[in-house]
Amino acid sequence: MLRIKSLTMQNFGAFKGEQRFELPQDEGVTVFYGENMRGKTTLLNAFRFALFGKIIGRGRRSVSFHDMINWEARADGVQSFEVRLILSHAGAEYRLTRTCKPKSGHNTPTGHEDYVADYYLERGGHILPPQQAAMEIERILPEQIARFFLFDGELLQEYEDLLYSDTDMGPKISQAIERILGLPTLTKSRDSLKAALDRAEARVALAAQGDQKTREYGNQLQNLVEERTVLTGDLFRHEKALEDLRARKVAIEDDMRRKQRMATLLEKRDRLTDEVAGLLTEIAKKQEAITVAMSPAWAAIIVDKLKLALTRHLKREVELQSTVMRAQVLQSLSEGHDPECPTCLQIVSDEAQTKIRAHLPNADAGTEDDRNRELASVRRQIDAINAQLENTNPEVLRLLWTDFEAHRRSIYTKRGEIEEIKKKLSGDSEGEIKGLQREYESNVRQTAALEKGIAETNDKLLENAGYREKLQKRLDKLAGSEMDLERRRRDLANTLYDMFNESVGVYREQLRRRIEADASSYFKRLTTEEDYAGLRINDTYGLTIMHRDGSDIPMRSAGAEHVVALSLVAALQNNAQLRGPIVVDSPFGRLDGGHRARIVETLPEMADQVILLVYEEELPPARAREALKGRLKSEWTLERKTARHTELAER
Amino acid sequence: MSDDARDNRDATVADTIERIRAEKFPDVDRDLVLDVLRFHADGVVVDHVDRQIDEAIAERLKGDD
Repeated sequence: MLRIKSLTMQNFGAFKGEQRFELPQDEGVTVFYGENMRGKTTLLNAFRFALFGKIIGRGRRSVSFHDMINWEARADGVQSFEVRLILSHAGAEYRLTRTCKPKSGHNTPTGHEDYVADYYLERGGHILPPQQAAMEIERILPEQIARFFLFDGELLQEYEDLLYSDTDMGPKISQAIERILGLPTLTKSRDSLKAALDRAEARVALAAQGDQKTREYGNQLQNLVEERTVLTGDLFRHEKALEDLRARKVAIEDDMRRKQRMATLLEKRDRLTDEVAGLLTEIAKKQEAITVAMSPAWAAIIVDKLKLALTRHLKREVELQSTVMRAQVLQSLSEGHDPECPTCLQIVSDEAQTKIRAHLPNADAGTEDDRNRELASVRRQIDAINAQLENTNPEVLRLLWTDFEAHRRSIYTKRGEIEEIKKKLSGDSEGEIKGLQREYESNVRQTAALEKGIAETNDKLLENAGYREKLQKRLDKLAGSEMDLERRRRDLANTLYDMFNESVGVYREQLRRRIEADASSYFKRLTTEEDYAGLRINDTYGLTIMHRDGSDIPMRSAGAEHVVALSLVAALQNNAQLRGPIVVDSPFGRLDGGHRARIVETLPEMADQVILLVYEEELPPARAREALKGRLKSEWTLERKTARHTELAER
Repeated sequence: MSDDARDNRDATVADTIERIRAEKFPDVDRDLVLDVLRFHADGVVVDHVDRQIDEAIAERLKGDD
């Protein structure tokens, strides 16, 4: 039974200086009351950090060590934090101390990468060597299942993700659950017996080679045994490599999540840089257009005078045109070119012609030419003035300038943003992020290649097993008594292997049934919905709510997820060879009062030691005392000293 | 899942394997099975477990003789 005795924090998160609490050693519940942002989740993270060196924030993001140093302490020059956990397990007392401090040579750390976390573990007062310490922690509380004991209501999504078999972590978590339920004893036995069977077969082959009658089969069998050894070795290496790749992939994804903010900043920077380049091109075009528009712009000053001149010229044109036309018509009539008057269409008599001739002005060709020249000149001037007026449009120039200025302001603003982003990017963020992306892609490719290779090796092993079986049968028919002992040894190893192999499957099913039954029992106690009959378990320990008509409830609300997760935790606690405390942060989340009451009543039965992290509106102290009665062992408050300084106080 | 699994869900590892031995592998020696389980119990670190198993099997065969 794993029990927490005390936890001590030094400048960890909101907890400034040294903060410590001890837990009662008898069974029951300890409640920590704290308002939002007082450090409840930090307390949960203190356990995680002590045990695994990890700190998890919202959205499953890893939290930077730099950000976990108490802010006020950091302002005073403190550059480290520490958590010490004292616990007991299987009759031994352990003291686990984990410290985070700047790496050597990093005198002014600014980010997570500038820190290193180290730990030491004492058992019964003796410090354990690092490898043994790591194995001991893994034995006490394997990290993959710690999430079922260090339970954060805000991280429920993790529960769903972890228990779907198509995620990389899903099978690992299933294995971890089975581990705490005792299955490894059987699986390890089975694997050892498989190895014993292989050795026995190798001895049969050796014995067969010693007999002339069976030598040929013996040689063939020996070759197959050697081939199997090689294939098995390859398979083991590939599976180990695949496991390492999968673990590395999870770590890369963690890193990428942590650097997501940097990636977003880089993307924004690149976008702004492209926009600035586009604007610069636009500005160049505008400048060109302005230059063209500027040359006639001077005329804008005299545009009114030009318009007046145009009016005068147009008037003069009309006058000259009339005069010219009148003279032409009269001349034509006086000379009799046209017998009809162009106006009244009557025949012009000789007498009228004589009168017209008498009234025509004495103009010579020169006067008429002068008039025509003047008319042409006036028309040219009119055209010139019109052209000038057309080119002189101050509105166009004004719009061009407005656009030009707007673009310049926009460039200035965007360049300012780019500079701000550059300040926020630390180190070689771009290089790191691109490096991570390349590594991730390479990891995916290697994983696919390994999976393919493993499948092919397994096919070859199956084929090899088939050939060996045939050869064994032929050998058995031919072999004499000198091979008898080896054959019997092989047969017994084979029988034992078959028996343990079958037992693994049977026991696994029994375990699932047991978890299903216990989880259902807890679920029915925790839920207020009468139509829910219980829970159904799948191959990866995922749980589905069952309606009393036997159908599944496929979709779950966050509240329902809460209740299901608590039910699984309780069932695992009930059945685990490893038993330990539950530390629950915000266990009520979006649950209504009815569910909350049921959880409070049921929690003490889920584990011997239950630590609740809540705020008072969530679980009023009076209600907690009334519901838990003698099972409530101690109460603490996370007291605000300042916005960045919390202290633990026992009530 | 089978009804057997439900009926026997509370059985221990030893109970489970003994049930399977008795039902399907009655000729296998019970003590040999327990030895194998003991070699792989949680928290137990057995030196040369391969050799231990080979010797346990050989011992049983000798006994049969």
